[in-house]
Amino acid sequence: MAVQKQMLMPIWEWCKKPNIIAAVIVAGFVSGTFVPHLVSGSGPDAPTCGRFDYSRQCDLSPTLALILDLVVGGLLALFLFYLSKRNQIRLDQIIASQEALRHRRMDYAAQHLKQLFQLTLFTMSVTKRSISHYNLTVGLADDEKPMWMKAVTLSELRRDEAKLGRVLQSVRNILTAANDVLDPDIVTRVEGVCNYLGEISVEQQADGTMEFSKYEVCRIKVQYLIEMLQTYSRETRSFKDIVEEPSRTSTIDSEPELAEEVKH
Amino acid sequence: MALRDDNERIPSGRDYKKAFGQFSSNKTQRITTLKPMEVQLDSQADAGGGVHTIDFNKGDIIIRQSGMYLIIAGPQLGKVRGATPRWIDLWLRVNNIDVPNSNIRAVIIDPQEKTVGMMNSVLPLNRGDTLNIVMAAETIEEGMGLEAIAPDGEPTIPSIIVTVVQLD
Repeated sequence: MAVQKQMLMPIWEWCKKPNIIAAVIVAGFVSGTFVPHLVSGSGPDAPTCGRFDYSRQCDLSPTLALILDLVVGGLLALFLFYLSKRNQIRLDQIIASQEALRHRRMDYAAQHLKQLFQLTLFTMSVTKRSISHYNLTVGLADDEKPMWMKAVTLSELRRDEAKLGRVLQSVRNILTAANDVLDPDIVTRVEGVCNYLGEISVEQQADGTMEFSKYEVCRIKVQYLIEMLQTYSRETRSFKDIVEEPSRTSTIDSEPELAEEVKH
Repeated sequence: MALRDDNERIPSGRDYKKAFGQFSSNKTQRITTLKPMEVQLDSQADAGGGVHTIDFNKGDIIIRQSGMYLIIAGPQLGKVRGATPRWIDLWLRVNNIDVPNSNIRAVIIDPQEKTVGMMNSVLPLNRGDTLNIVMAAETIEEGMGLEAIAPDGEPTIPSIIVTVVQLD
């Protein structure tokens, strides 16, 4: 048994090779095409029939049958090649149109995200200005004018907040629509900023003034994102990673206002 | 701001390709609300001649370089009054989203007890991401929180020390 296995194994391994399989198929085709005609047709039916004659008295000679077979085979091959070529061209066209669509979607997403974050930055600064206006009215004598100013600035403030919310919603919509064309890293970064900004709200302090908490941090985060979005290239369809040079001092002035004791 | 260039060197001559930062607070921070409170930071170590590769603003640590980061925080925990065991929890928050599996809990029994918690985490952070340490306690009645201690003849013990190191 062991000897038989050793004998059979190489044949089985040979049979697995694509070259051998292809050679066997070609050999089968060639022998099936040529050999029967050459063997069966030893000569014409009548002595007057030539090798290429075909009539009521003369059967198709093996040589002519072989030639006809070759012609039919050639025509069939040409037809199949034409079909294959036509399908390949159609597939290439579909792939190219899909790729062009993907590029257009990516260009649109990158450009629109940049614009929306610029709008976010603008809306945040407008909100901060509205807060400053509102805070000016706090503490004024409670007559008609400050009350009116407070109401107007408060409505402006709420309008700006709502606008910021709508802009962030638009950003999220773009992310949803273009998350298959954008780099996952970019989607994560944009989502991170959206999550952060979404949690930020204008808060009223105990003294009645309003505060845009973490305005500076929000501004820096949005600016970083805009910088990154601005590096988008239509040639490479990619964003460049930006690295700041290490600074001597922090770009943000820390303002600790922690009223607590130091224990002894 | 500049595009990434590995050959770029800062004026001091040392090449800082990876971001790092050590932050601390020299102020005691007590929990005054039952909602989670952000831990505030008030100083950053001037490593390498004052080079800062990570920013901070109050409680927000702002990442300037995308990468994988190791975050280690050691809060000094304590309370002012009461002898009942009370818990205090701390965890990380990135972009205002709580980071799962970053929580720690300490139980403090009396005001004499001082405990240093140990938080550590490895997180992928992007440029512009903000990192916060958040705390919450069982009660606001007993003055639980982070304590800065100023012993005689010794440097002040900060209420929290946070180390952030870029790994890749």
